[in-house]
Amino acid sequence: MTVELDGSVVRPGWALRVDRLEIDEGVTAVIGANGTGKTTLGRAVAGLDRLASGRLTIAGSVADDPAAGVFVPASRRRVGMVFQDLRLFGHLRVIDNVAFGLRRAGADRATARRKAGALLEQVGVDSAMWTRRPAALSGGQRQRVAIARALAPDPQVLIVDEPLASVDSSGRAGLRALIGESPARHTLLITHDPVDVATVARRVVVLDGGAVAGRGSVTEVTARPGCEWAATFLGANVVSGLAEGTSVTTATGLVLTVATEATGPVYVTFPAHAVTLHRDRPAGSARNAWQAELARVDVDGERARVHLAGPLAVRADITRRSADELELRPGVTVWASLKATELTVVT
Amino acid sequence: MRDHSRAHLADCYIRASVAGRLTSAAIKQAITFPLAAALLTTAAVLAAGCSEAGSEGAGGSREVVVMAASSLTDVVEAVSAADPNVTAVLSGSSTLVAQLSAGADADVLITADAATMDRATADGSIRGKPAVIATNTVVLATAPGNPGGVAGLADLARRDLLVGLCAPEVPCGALARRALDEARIAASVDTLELNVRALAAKISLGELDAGLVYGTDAARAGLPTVNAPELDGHANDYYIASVSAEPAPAVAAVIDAFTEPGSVGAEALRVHGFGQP
Amino acid sequence: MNVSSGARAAPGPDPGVSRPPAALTAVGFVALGLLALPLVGLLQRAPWSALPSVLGESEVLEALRVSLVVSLLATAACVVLGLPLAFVLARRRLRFGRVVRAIVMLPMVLPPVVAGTALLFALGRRGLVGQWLDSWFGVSLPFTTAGAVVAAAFVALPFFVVTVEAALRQAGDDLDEAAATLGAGAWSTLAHVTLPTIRPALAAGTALAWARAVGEFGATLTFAGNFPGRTRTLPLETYLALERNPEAAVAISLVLMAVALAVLITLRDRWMPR
Repeated sequence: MTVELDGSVVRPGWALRVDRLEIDEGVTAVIGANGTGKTTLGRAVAGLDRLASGRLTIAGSVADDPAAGVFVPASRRRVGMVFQDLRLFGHLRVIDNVAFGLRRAGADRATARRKAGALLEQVGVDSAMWTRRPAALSGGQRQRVAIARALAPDPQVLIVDEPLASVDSSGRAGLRALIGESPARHTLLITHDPVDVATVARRVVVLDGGAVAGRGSVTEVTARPGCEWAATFLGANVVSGLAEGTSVTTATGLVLTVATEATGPVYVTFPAHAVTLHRDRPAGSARNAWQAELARVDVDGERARVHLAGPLAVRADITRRSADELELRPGVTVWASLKATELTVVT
Repeated sequence: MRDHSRAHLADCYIRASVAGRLTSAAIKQAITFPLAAALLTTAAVLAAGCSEAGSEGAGGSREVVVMAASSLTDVVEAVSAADPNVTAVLSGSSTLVAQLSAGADADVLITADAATMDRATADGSIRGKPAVIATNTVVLATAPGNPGGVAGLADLARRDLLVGLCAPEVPCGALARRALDEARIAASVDTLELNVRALAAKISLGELDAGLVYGTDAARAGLPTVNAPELDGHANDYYIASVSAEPAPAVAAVIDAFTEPGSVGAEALRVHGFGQP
Repeated sequence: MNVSSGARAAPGPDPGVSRPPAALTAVGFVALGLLALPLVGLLQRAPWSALPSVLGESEVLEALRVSLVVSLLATAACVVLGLPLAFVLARRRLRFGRVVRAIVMLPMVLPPVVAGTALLFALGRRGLVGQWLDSWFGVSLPFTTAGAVVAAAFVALPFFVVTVEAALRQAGDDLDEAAATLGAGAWSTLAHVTLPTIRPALAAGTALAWARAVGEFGATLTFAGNFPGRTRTLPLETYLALERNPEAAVAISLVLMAVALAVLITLRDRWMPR
């Protein structure tokens, strides 16, 4: 089963044109700068925006085809959506927000509430909150409720628009796992967070200026991002580790020094251009420096992207001239260094 | 913010329409002004009349405010056309008396019956001596073409007809009730209008089949009348009086214009079908 | 005002930040006096001891009955007809939106007697539509209780529509979209999301419409006439009582004013939906 979209959505002032996009099972990350049409793409799939031309099919049946006069309304598409602004029902208790979709699908109140309770537990909303109105909850708690509400009717397709923006850091990993959990579901994850892409996305769609600029597996798109914005975004390195104070120990035992304090499992992100390469051990011991084996060099015009193997699989963007000067070839050993201030710690 | 102001507008309006109306005689008068053919324009005229009622000319010529029963509209207009100093305030007789007693500023009062004039004299609003200037009889009027086939006063008891009378609180209604009681006719009444002009208008629009209105109003609205001997002798006397016991010469002149034989007012009364006292 | 804990900041002045100049405040209180004075006048003339006996008069009780029947039926009509209209105004892009909206609000600013005249020309026995009602169905509205209901509904409808439309606009269709993605169809969304969301405005609009219907005078008198037990409502009774028995007029006015005040004070607390 796939979601296939080939068509356009026209809004006042601009249009989104998508040529033959196929969305398979699992999580597909949708990335792109602000205003490139990410949310519009999600809304078109959900049935909240109509196609101006072309066709959308979900699991083989046509959901939207203006030429043929077919439009399946959102309520009959089984496409769930977690909205960026959440849109919880203010007049309903938290548990009834989550039970809403189940009730509409015909479940009786007790069954719907039981399932809703189980989901709320999964997303980590304390049962003391279940009978409150959404307005009484914190932003992060509300976000969890919104995710639980969208998951409740077990949609075939789930669209998640910037899901973790306001979730407190401690809960992100759990929610990420929940979003990535069901492999049979098609999940469109609209995101600005490189960690989302690195951890749960199987594939990436890059939107630029209302059109698809890149698509494919994470590896494929990282190699050919299709636009400057995505290149920077996907160039970001994501390393997991265990933090204690300003030290983060990675899985291979390398210790990175960071500028902000944290405790417990974290992600450390840094852009590819923040990595500096040297033939010899760099002077100055306070820096994060390690010896690495060079795996591959992709040269693209004046830019060279260097892929390092263990102890940290990271990417480094350097100029082509530097690459020539360093005589970089696969198999050679180089020193890599990072300034602590370039590192972002994501808990 | 827009919603806010809307809410406020609604709120204010309710206050005005629910609360204000019930307390303010002025609003009451404004909304019960006779339903005449040109409703909007007459309402505007009335409003203008109200606002001018209390004002006095600064120079030598003094404004004379004449409060008159609405059945005299045409007559008073004729007088004020001849004497530009005359300002007319027209309404139901009882409304006028109520306004006078509430302190309205006027020089002359003309009522459509003795009872209302008696009330004004009794409470001290009127100090001048009332005089009869005309009489008016009630007639049985029907809608144009008499679609209900009304043949006599007894037909007012027919349930299939839409019948209107003036409310017994106003002179034409009191008169109608007396006449019907005397003739022992139990009229099947559908509405008791608050003034005779509104009643005449509804008959002329065909919304009512028949009703008892003043002969002058029937003539004015061009309503067909049906001969009804039972109504003979049922007439109202129109009284005029000055508010002050010693009227100013200008005021006395206006009263003379109604009382002196051959004067503008007396002539207009005759032309519009009023009876001689 | 009830300030909800939503994301939007509550509108309205913060009394601590900017106080109006003293002169402005003084004039403001003069205006308040102007509004409050009639109320005081009424209270001062109120025949308190005679109140029960005056209000127990058969004419007054009859007018009360007519008023209740007429105002409640008119309010029901306002809700049944006004809700769809509010939805059309709030959710549809109308070609002549401004004109349509002006037409909707017209009865709010129209002198009621003009409204009554207009109704007579439209729905009277010889009116534009009324003549067909009369000849096809034998239905004639003027001078009937039904006519009084029509007159009251005509003047009260905008209060309901305007209130509910404002709430619908404020609510937007965000929640409706959310409901759709959860499998709720149009009617289900209406029943389970939209209407509950604007419930405060529904209550406010209904109360305002009812208050207006109870107070209706001019349009009723012009269109429906005045007959005891059929079309003579409390305001008409008040008017007539003023000439017959001023004490009774004051007593009824007090009752009407108390009702109006109660409605408005209740609304103040929960006026804005969110």
